[in-house]
Amino acid sequence: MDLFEYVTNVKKGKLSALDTVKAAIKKCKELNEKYNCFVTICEEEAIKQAKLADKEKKGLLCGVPITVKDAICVKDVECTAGSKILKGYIPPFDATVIEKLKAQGAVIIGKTTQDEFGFGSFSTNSAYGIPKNPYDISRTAGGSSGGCGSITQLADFPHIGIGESTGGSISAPSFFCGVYGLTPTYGLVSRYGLIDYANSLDKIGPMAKTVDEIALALNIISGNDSKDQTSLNNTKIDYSNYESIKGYTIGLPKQYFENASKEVKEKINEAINVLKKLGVKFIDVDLKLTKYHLSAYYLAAVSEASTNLSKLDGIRYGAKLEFDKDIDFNNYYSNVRSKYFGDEAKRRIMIGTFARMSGFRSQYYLKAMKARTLIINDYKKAFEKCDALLSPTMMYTAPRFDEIAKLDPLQVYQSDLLTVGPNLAGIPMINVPCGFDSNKLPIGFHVLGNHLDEIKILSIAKAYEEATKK
Amino acid sequence: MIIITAENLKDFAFEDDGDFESEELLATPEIEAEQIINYYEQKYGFKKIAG
Repeated sequence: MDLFEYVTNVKKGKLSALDTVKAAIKKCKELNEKYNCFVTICEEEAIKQAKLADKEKKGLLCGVPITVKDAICVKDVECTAGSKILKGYIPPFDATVIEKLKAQGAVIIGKTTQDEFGFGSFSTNSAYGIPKNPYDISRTAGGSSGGCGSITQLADFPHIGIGESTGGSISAPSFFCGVYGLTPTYGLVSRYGLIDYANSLDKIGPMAKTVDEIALALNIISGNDSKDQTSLNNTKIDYSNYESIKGYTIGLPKQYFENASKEVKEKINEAINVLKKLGVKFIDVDLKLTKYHLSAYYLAAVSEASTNLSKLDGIRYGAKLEFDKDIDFNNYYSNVRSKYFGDEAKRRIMIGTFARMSGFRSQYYLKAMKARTLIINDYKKAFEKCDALLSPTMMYTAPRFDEIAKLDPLQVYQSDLLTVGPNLAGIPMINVPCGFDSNKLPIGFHVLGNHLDEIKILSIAKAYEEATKK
Repeated sequence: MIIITAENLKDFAFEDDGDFESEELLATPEIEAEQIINYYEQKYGFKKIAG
């Protein structure tokens, strides 16, 4: 059933939120056996919230089941961010986005599987099992919000997923699972209550099956928050008030098409033709600094991650070991972190620490910061000539796990080539599903907008959705 | 066991075309600086932050 129709019926008392949530939880438990979308299904809390929704009958999401990436804190529900070091952590508070969703009657039914702290492109670095692709369980659901992408596609009940992106963690799983996924402008959605990967890059955003659901979720979760000092204080607008895209100019960055597979390129070209028929003009755009994207992103991200995770030392935060009087602080700290961090977390902490060290700092970290400014300027220049940019979201469709296992870490990082640039620049982006390849795996195109131009990218997504509706 | 050394940083080396000469490139992006100033103004009444 359509989410909006469902909400109307719950508010009128024609449908029971409690019955829907109970059925959704039963379904999620069954799906989890096969797809491993969840770290936690919070049945008890969900039932309380559903009863409240039935009683109060208010809010834009009255009785709607919501799933949340495990890095986002939900009061009284275990929050691990995909890591063993946070096993058993139960936040005594809601993240701001969760507060806002609950205030609209939403029911949080579970925490979705992810790469540890968001460190990955395929969700294969999770300490709690790997989420599977809804179209083929031998393939990835994408990362790092893989569980969120998978359940968003699989859910046969009204549902919105809440993901988080640092370098492409909403776009990649949305592409691999064939759903819409919006990464907002940095600062548009509060990060309060998010377990950080890299503070200057993290963004929380919605994943859903329709553009209207994405716009609805963004209307609810966006807005200034005094608890997050990087939160923007811009005028609130209605993201479902779509513009006509007739007369829009969309730029095609040539560098973004170079490495995409033939089948992906074909589908994107078909989508471009649909948009042309709707009155959109396309121009070629040269984003010549694409060559810096991966280095700048990975250096910035791992440098911030290595400082963020230093608090997880078994004393201030995180899992603990028995104290031994013969062990000094440094060894205790090393033992805790060696035992509880996964391999990729250790790799990124070490690389980030080297990048910030005296002797390497100017050559790597500071150069990455300079490159980041240049990259932002590169996009800004492109947006002087066009309303949005369009490219493939990922270069290829969902790879098999045996193929991923053969990749070295650097090859995995390279798979993020098309998503790290816009994430570094803090501009908004949305994955728009646009067909399937010969293996029946989803393909999507990426629409990138200037800072705070969410309405434009949503308008493009909506116009395409309408034009291709069957 | 993972063995990471400073050598691994070379994987992220920039092919430097002389793009990084200006120190101004290290300035905080406008969108963030503005918000930080707003935050301090709202919370503490500062007119501007040092530097």
